[in-house]
Amino acid sequence: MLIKKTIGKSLVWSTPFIGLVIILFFVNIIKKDYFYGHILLYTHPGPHNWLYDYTSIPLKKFYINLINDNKEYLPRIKLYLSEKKLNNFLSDIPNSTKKWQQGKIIHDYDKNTLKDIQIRLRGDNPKNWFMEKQSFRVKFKKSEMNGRKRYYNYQPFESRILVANRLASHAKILAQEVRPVELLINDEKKGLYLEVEHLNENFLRRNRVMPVNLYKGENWNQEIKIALPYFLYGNPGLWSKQAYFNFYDESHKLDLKLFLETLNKSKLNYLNFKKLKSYLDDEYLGRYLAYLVIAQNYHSGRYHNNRIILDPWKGQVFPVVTDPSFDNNTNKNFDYTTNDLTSILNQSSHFLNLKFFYLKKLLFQENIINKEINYLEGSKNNIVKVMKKDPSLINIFPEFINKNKNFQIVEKNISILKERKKFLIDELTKKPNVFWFKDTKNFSIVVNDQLPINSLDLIYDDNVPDWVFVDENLNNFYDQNEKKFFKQDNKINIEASFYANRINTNQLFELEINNINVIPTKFSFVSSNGSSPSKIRLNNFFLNKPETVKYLKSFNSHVSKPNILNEIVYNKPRLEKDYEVKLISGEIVVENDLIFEDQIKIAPGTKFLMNKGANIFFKNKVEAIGNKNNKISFLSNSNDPWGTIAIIGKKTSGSKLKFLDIEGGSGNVSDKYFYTSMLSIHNTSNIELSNINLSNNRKFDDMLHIIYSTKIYLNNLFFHNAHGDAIDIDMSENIQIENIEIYNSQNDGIDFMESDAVVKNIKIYESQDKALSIGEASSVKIISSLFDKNNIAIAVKDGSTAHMDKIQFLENKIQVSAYKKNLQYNSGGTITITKSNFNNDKNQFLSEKSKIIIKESNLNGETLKSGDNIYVYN
Amino acid sequence: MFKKYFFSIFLILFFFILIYLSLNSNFRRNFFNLSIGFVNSYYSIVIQQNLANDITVIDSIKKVEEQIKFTDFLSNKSKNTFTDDIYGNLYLIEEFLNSDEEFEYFSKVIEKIIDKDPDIYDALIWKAKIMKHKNLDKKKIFQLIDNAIELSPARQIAYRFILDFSRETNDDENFKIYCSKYNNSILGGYMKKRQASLFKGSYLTRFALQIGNKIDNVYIMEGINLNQEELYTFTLLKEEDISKINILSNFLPGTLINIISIELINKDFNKILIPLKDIYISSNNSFFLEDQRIVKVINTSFEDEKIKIDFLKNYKNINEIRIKINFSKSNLTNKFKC
Repeated sequence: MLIKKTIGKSLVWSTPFIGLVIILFFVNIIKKDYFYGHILLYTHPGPHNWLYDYTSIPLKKFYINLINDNKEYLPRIKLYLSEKKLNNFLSDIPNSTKKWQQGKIIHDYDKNTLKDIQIRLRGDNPKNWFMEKQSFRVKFKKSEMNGRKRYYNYQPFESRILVANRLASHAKILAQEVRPVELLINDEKKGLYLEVEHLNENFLRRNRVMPVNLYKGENWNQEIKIALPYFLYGNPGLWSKQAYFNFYDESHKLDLKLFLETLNKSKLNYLNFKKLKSYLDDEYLGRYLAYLVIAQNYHSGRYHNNRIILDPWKGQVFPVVTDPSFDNNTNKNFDYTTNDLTSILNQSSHFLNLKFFYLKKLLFQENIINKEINYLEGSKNNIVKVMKKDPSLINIFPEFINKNKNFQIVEKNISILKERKKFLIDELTKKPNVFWFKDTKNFSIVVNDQLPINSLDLIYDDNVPDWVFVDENLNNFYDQNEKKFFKQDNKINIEASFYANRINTNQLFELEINNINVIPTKFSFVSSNGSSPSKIRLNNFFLNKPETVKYLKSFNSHVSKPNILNEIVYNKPRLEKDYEVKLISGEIVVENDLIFEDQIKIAPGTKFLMNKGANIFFKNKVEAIGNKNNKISFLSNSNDPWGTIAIIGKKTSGSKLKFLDIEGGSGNVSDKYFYTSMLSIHNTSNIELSNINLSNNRKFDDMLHIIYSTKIYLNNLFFHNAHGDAIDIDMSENIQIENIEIYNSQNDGIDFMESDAVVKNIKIYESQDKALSIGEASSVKIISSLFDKNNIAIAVKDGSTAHMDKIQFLENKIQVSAYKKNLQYNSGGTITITKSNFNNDKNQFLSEKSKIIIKESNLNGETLKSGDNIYVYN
Repeated sequence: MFKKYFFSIFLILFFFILIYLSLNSNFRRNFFNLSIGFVNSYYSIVIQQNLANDITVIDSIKKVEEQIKFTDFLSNKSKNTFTDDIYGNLYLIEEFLNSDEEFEYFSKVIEKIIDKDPDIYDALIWKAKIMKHKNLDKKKIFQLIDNAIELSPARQIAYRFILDFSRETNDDENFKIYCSKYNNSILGGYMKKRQASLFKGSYLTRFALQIGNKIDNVYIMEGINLNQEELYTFTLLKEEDISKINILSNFLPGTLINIISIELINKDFNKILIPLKDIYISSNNSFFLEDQRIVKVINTSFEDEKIKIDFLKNYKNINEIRIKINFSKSNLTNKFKC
């Protein structure tokens, strides 16, 4: 009785408190959901069952602690920050999510060190902030970076991000590095995460891209601009920057504006399309388009998930993969497109041809799907084991009662990849739907398939014509721009690629969505004697053997003729005149820019008199070979500096400049290109420069600038009075420099950045800063050279190495300096000097977080060492 | 007695609603959506009524201030779910501003909304107008206009203001620069909230061709050129017998569409040049300017436009349609090409 009374009384007293707790519990759910789904502009994630989270997740955590599996199956990342700081992230969303909080980390890169970091939430979707598994961004101190990485993103595991990013890397497309990790916060297991590389300037440098504009296109969720149409490729104002080209203000977007204008006009006529083509690297875009098909990554849409690099050193645009999708199914339509850039490219035969070419390469030769399958097979067990420690991914009930689909994710992705490979191969190796018929004066083929025709064999029983041409304008006459194909025995082989027209149509109520359709397209052929073949065979990148094209006796169905973007892609140069080289000679006054798209030869003795600001751009191979008594010269035609002579682009490979005088130039800047030098070698290979005098450049820094180039040979060059650096070499490989003399550079004699070179027999005098500056992960070998009266003879820094042999170090203020300057490279420089002479009253050596080793060398004069790791062995 | 039961019933109801809201995520989602919509609608209606009933503009501005305070309390002080409705209300009010006092009140609210979101095109222009009204720094005014133009290069409002301002300050150089910029800009646009548009906004970078009244297979043209004749070619999915076509678009107001010629290509690839004087062209919202040789259409609204072209006869087996058009922009002033 007493007990009953007591229980009754306690119930009466405790009921209000229990009620309060229940009320607070439910109010908390409602409040959380309100902030989750309703307060951010244009951000409305779907309804979420918070009650399930509040009840099941603690149980799962309890279960995980009970199992207590502490083995390390995947790299482990341990974050530490106080509960207060964790709560601060959600104190005033969205601003509070972007505020850095102090924390600590044990990263598997350096497992024994607890490092200070700053940490914040990432992403603009509230799903990244409110769920049990939040999404973080971590920033290391500049002095404590992991190698060259300072920022990391940690986001909940999604197989699409892992697989699609890795496929992009296999395809040699710029994408974030991703790996699965196990994340712990304050030693509490948070489960399976992805460590994703952050997109910023460092990402560019790590991928051998100069610090240029990396544009972010996100007009979605909170980032939507009020009262503006959503479409990214129609407005530069919708883009922001994740890295920027530091020659300009961060707000400068004229390069993007010009590119978007070019894109939006590119479909209108061939000239405009050619301008767009000049922005695009064939190999990169071919791989990119092929990758999109293989990964079925269609997440880069018209209004979000776009990242593009605009590189003014190349004048080109490079899409970067971000937040990719990896669809379960494979779309049969290989031209399926989700943004404006790929829409235009998928309507162009030029880019379609590249896409299919690289589809073959990636599927059959580089085998990127197999590579990824192998990786997933190797990782899946460890991934599943970490999943079993993930409170969001495990079941409450044992496996035999309720099979956990999460544990099957990796296996499922492996199956998808296998099926996809099979599907793609099956589809690509099908015989294309093509037929042919005879007309009165000619014969025609009709292509009605998305697959390519990459060559045709015309087989004649008799009456073999001497030649056949493709009648591109359907006038039955041979025009100069059309190409003839000549007979070989009883056959004529047409080495050209033919594509069906692609057009963009959609339903009336979906006009904002691009939808590419294939339509039957006719290509007409005219033969020298009016005869038609008895049989036609086709081949393409994917067929194992040629297939016979179906012949139709009569044909009366709808067919179109090739549209503006559907030019025939000739497998070899189109016209004889492509082999013709234009010859330039005499005295030429250059009033405005000269742009040479064709091959050029410049005769000895040619004189270019350059007006103020005038430039000469060579976009194809150039041979400017003078001789000792008859040099080719580029001189000022006024008191004002002219611009630049630029050799730019892959077509210029093999160019030679010999016996030249170049004086009085500067550089050139436009919305598309950036030249900081009088003579500019950009994005090319196999270039020879010899017996050239360069002097008195103005305004811009460099006399000679080599960037993004390989196999460049400099021999017998003379530099006088450089306004900044005499030679500047960036992101280039296999540079050979011999017999160079440099006098009186206002900055450096030769400056290397992320490049490798061999330098022989150079003499550098009176540089105001360094004779040789070797920085930012460069590797240079220098032999038999001389440095005299420079401020610093040689400086090696930022992860660079130099090997010097038989060098004369004369009266330089500082002989050797090695240090860490750019924190992005996380280390100083290393220099080894052998069999050299140091001849100065004071031979100064400076080393900071670096190493200087001098062996078998003579030091005449006082030796002054400052810093550590300076070793002299004699 | 009644009071006792009323309290109990109220408590039970309260618990029930609370629990139901917590458990049923769909109901909760709808409840909040409707509530937010109610708040937005309330302020929108009140402000529109005030403006319609000649109640002082300052009262409307104060209402917006109240809206900002209240919605900040409901959400947060930065850009939030209510921001675009606040902007919409300011957009309505701005046209009615007259006196110094009204400008003064308005400027305070503009500062608040720019604090929330510095990328609102109209807000930047309003701020520039207010600064001009107050005779403030000319450089800053130009900077604001440049920021607005960066957000939407083709939209004309910024240019109207800056051209007038350049004239007033005898700045011929800038006058010419902005004239040229306006005439040559194709990027950017405008989108009204809840605008019903097939193109999802007004802009110059897309239009479409419809054959008759067919809903399927409308042909999309991705891009235009300004100030020069271009041949816009539409290759058809299949042969069609054509007597009518429609040019669908949502160009910005002031866009001039000069139709120079129309060609049809039939299945034999023969060209049929359509004599413009023998066809009938009309539109939903645009206006036509008299011209003997070509068809000049001027777009005047932010609504979807349909230029209806009736050939007045049937052309059979058409494969391709080519329309030569010169797109340009109407002048903003009486000055040549401006």
